Amino acid sequence: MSAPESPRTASPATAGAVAELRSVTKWYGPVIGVNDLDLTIGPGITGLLGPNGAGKTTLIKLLAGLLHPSLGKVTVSGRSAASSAAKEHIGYCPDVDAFYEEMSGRRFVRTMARLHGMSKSEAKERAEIALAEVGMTDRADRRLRGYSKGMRQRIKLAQALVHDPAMLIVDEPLNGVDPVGRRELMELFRGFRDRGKAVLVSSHILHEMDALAERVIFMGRGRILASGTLAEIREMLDEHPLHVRLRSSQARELAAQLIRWEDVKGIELRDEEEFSLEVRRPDAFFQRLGDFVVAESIDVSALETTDASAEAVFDYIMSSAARA
Amino acid sequence: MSSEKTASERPSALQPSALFSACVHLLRLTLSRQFWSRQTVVGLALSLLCVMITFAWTLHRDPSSKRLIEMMLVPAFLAFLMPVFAICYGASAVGGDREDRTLIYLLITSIPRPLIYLTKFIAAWLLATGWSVGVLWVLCTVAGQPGNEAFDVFLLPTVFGCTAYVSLFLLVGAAFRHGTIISLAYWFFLEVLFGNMPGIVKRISVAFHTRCMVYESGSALELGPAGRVAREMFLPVSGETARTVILISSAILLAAGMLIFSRREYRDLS
Repeated sequence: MSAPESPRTASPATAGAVAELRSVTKWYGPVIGVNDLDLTIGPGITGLLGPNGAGKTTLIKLLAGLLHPSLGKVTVSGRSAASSAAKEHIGYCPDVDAFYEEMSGRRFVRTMARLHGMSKSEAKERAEIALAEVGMTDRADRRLRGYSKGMRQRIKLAQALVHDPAMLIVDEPLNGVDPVGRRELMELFRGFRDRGKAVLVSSHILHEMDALAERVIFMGRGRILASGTLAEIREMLDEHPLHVRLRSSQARELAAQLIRWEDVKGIELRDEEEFSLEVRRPDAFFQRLGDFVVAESIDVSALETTDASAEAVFDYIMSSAARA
Repeated sequence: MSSEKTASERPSALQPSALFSACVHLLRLTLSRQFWSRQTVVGLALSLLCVMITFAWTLHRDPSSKRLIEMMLVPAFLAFLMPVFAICYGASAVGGDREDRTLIYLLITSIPRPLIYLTKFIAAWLLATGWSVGVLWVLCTVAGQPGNEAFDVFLLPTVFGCTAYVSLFLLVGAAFRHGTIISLAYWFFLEVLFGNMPGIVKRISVAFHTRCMVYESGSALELGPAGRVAREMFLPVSGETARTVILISSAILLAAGMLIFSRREYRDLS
């Protein structure tokens, strides 16, 4: 695998692009933040994953217009990301836990609406819509300094949504939010996506990216190591075959058949009814397995992949990057 | 969804009326946040102290206008309170938002950065000038009849001095992380020490030019530095020159601040 040298872009979305980075490099003095990034972000939910220092925050700040690229170009809706015209189209939810603490949540969101140029009545209406979207309508009159971390996170999201941007950029949005709140926020992102908008979510909580993001971007050392759907990226990881666990009352017979298949790299029998396989080209394998099981009337009681999660893919990519 | 226009349906940049409305809201927000702040408490506490000293001074001295100006208003108000108000509101207008990291919310709005800076300048200038003129009026009122004359002498220099100080300290607050501390250091070393040195080196200070304006507008009172040596070494410029220098330097500082604020990456915000 040569991921670090040539980023894997499984499904480059160029049509309907909301944001684009072209040959973008950002230096902080002698330190490189991001290195020669080419990226297109279109409608839908995109997850941004990577360890600390991978360049996620730099990428997000470039898109939010808070940093200027040292080289290259960052555009949002066709305009330079740093321009005020582009900011009309960006809703940015920063990871910083700072507010106008003396305000209530409702007043803060209305204030942000007014700062986006809305009239008083429009700001009031839009603030109520945004507060409803984040589930804070009935709790928004309390002072911000008295809010829990989860409530503050929701208010930050509300201010990012208040001007109904084309793209929502959220940095670690699920931090400090309880499980119910997380589910609600994920629903919120999906609702935003369903309206044809783009969502870029940076997170360390990899398993939640499995459920949330349609497309993921793995970053490391300032570069994009891989991007695409998890399945697409997983399939590209040739040297890391997919691990599959299978239970069947005819485990031995089935294993004997499967080991002959070219996509099956290895089989390990666990007991009389269970074995695990290492599989290349998972899509082709599962298609063939399904046909085979039906044709031969084989009883399969369980079939699961054990390392197709974002976390496993992330580990593979990072270990490949470390070797490169 | 609301029937209101979405961002993608709205024009790509704010229309002038919407931009004006956003700036007015930012002005009100800044005025409100700065007025109800620690800076106001500090400024008021120091003002109260100066008012008490002035009151005590008027009880024990023959309070002529000339003596009031030379012994109380120039050192206590012109050289101390006015720059303090300018530091309180000027350095914290952008610097305060930066320190508490709420500046990020301004930088992600659709208001162009130069206009954010200009709006911050107007707010800080209104507060610093308003408080300075207000405190000057109180000091002059406390001093009685001589204070009435002194108020007229100081009004214009106060407005000009506040303009120069606010534009300077706002720039410092926008350019440096610990703007208030740097502003205080500047005020002490450049304005207090250099501003009282013999020769022309003092001409780089705002205090020198505001004093020249005071001396000219109070020429009927034969105002000037106390003592023969000080008078000989003060080397004043005309009031018109002082006004011109203050206005031009304020404009340059404001323009430089807008440029710096527009280009600066505030990496410490998150």
